[in-house]
Amino acid sequence: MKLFLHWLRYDLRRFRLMLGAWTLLVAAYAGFLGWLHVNILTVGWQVLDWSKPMAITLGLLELGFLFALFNSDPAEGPRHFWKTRPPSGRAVAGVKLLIAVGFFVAMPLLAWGLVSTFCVIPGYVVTKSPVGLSWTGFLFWSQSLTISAFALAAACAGSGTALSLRLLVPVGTVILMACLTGGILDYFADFSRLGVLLERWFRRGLGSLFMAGAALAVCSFFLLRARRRPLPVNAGLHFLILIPAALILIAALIHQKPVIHTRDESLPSAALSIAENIRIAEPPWPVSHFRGWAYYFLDGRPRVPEFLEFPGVGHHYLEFYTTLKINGLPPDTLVSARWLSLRLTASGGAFLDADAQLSMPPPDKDHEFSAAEAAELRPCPAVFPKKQNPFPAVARCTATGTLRLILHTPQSQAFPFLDGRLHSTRIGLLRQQAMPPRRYRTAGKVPQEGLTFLDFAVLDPGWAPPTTFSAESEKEKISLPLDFRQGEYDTGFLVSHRRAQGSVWLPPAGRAEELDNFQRRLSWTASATDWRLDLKWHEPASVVDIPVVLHDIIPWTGHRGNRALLEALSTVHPAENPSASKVRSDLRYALGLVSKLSLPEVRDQALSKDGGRALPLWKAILAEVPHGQLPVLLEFCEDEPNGPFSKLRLSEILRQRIGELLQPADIPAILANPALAAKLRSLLPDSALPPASPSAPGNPSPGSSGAEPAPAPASKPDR
Amino acid sequence: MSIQFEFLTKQYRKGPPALSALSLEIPAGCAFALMGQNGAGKTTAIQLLLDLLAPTGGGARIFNTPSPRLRPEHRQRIGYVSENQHLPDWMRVDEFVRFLKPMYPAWDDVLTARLLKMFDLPMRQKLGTLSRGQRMKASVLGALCYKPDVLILDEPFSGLDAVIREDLLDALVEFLSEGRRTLLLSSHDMNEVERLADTIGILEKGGLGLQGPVDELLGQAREVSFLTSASNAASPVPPPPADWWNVVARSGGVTFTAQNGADESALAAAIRQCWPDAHSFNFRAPGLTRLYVDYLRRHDAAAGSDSVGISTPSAPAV
Repeated sequence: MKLFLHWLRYDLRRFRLMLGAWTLLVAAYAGFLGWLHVNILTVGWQVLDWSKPMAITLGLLELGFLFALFNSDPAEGPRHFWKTRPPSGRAVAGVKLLIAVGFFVAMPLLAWGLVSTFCVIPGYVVTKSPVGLSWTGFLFWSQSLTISAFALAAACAGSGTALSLRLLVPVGTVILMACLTGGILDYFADFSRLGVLLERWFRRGLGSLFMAGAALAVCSFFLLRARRRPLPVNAGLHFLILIPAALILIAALIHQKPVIHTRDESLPSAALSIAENIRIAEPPWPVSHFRGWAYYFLDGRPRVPEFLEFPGVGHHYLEFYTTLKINGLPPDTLVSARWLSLRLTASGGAFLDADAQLSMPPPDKDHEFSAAEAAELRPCPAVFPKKQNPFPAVARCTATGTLRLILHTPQSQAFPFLDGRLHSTRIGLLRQQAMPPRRYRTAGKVPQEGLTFLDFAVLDPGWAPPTTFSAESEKEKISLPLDFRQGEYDTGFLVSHRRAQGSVWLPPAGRAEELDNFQRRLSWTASATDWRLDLKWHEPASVVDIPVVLHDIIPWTGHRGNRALLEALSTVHPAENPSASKVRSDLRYALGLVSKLSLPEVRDQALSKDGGRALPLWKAILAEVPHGQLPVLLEFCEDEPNGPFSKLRLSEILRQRIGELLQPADIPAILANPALAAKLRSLLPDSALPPASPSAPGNPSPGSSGAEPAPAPASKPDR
Repeated sequence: MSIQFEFLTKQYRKGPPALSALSLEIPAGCAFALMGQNGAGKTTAIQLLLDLLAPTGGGARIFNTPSPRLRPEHRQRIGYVSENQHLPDWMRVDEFVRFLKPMYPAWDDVLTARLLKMFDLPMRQKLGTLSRGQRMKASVLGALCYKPDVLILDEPFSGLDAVIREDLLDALVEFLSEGRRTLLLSSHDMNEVERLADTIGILEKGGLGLQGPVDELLGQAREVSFLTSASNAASPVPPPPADWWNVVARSGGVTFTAQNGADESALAAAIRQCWPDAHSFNFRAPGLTRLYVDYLRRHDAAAGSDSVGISTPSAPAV
């Protein structure tokens, strides 16, 4: 022991500069992370991104330090100073081990523990879960490089002529490290997945018996090699040093799936039968002239907010929605759909191809189904870049493509963070709270009381790309750099307004997204006030690709404005022998065009004038609507005096046609719906209407509700 | 017995065996010089003895302890100096002394001070910046100050200038004169051997050849020269015996070294049996260098145009 301690002092003194520099660097890094943790609510994400390269730099330095440490008194060779002195080989090797463990394992862990203990925001608790630790990456480097350094030392200490093997191990280790650092260089992107797997495995295996066993095996081997008299050299012995690396690789291959299993194996077989039960519930209908990245309120109506800026995407996109209806889904299955490909072909042969990367479905609570019901899926969008023109601005065309249904069980959406904990991610914090069952099980919801917005979160659990959310509490600025290059994940981030209704959903990019899109994404900035972040975080549990052909579609690709509106309306010609569904579809389409138009931008005078030109057209359409389609017309009956139908003076024509179709047998059903009856009061016979009563709630009258003035008597139906 | 080699064999991956069943015993208090040509196996034998290398066969012992089982207590009694030994170059001389001292209970501060004064080492200078001679002095210092019972020197003075060599030799002679210490010296330098060793062993092709006390070997051996007819000089009949080394005939004269030539009259009679017309004999005691060189050249077949070229079997140990 005396000689051991003496040699320990000797080595500490010999490596004092190196160990001192390492201590300072670790202390500086710990201080940096501690400062980040304390100021996590105000610091910008750009600063936080420094953490990863810093950790990697530390890891590389550690590799050099360990290499110097373990090769300072090698076992092989007769000329080394220590071998002719009293300390035993095991004592010398033990000193190396102690220094390595103390400085390169224990000290980082201690620093992390101090940061976790003292550098926290009141009210938050930093979990010590192995997932999402801010030091995970660094510890990964630290621990894995420690083992690698043992292997390197053992390899480089090898005697004999096995030069190729002695070179193979360091080179292999460097390559392995390059794989692990694939995230640094895009050139290693293909390898980075392996690195992610290894790192994920490491996180899981940090405390596992396997990792302990592997480390023990390497250390034991090194100790054996560190004996004063080396083991007999033979070729097979050299391969022992490859055991840890081989085991890690094998384990990585075995653990292809994420650490927390998000895939459910029961779905694929069920998916086949599900595919047979899918039908297009509604004809597709274009809903918007897409201006950059849209966001969606939870009512399903897309909006392009004034306060969100998505530079770079441009204004030349068209959205195209399809509604699906699905039967026979397993219980509690969540479904979303996206177009893998979609081509609109006009009669002249011109076509538009959808951009699959932009055609991501928004998250929707309506995606939940039970086994018994046949549910209607939210419209899934397809986004067409208009730069593919020439394409007729208004034309009926055929859509052909492949629709992908993505099925999830609740299990498949297990979020990797624990409930009620603040997680220190690689460079940030995340608070997780439990969510009600069957709805956004995977969401990481920001506490509503006592804490402000999820001020900062970096989500980097391993299998999904790192994502940063940050907000400055005063300026309420949200920065969202997204990097989704590691596979096809149906993963979205729902940023919802805490006071107002609705949410902003920022769709992720696809795997094959071009670099310029990625760069654009880096500059996304959303300024808002008082936001809440919900996370929808899952991998597809099962997917079903369905070939789809849709006929008689009217995409509107023209420019905005009254003329374009009228052109679009002019295409809604009643077909010969129109079916009820056809009439309904055309009406919905026309309504969609009108309702999605930014009417405040259209001058009222011009609108009235131009809209008047469309009146004959609408009269002709409505004249052919049979009595059986009366519910369709009633659906569009508007009660807002300033609504789009009213501005276009279509409400009057609609009411006229309703009045024409209205029969005495319909009146009881209308009276059963007080709101509808109030809208149609002017169309109904006085005898059928009960007297208006101010005290009768739910039976609005012009005087009591104030919601809508009574229609003018001049609009009585023309029977 | 301080040092024992028992059929010690070392075979590297390539080339002939470095050592072939070397057996040797060096009693305590003996100053033994291991001599031999380059590649004879001297350094290998020492490294095997110190467990710096693993033997292929046989074994070595120090203090009756097999080399692989040497414990720190044993190594605290062994001093080792080698021209190739690494030193902690980052240390200053004074740090080096302070570093070594705790490892050796028998460390002698007085001796340390005396050697430091004798060697005139710059105390504040790092070992890595010292000259070759100064590094060797520091190395010797680090091997002597704890008064080891066994001192092993492997080519300690090669390449050093005469002044430094004398300094080191003086120190070693003084050290060996104090107490009953065992020395194992590997050297080419006959001056070192003569001053330090009382027994020599010549390693040849991995095995031990000539071995014995220096005084005894030199006392028994004779360096011989005589004249004979030029026609008979290169073709003696019968051939000379095996203990006549390096028999060379040139211009009617013949020279060689006789291992057992103390009885000069008997030696002259034996010569006349081979060269009947031999005359003008000259006998003298050889120096260690002459003995060493002629022993190693005893197998040479063509030392000169008139060389006798007599092959002799291995000489018996004295």
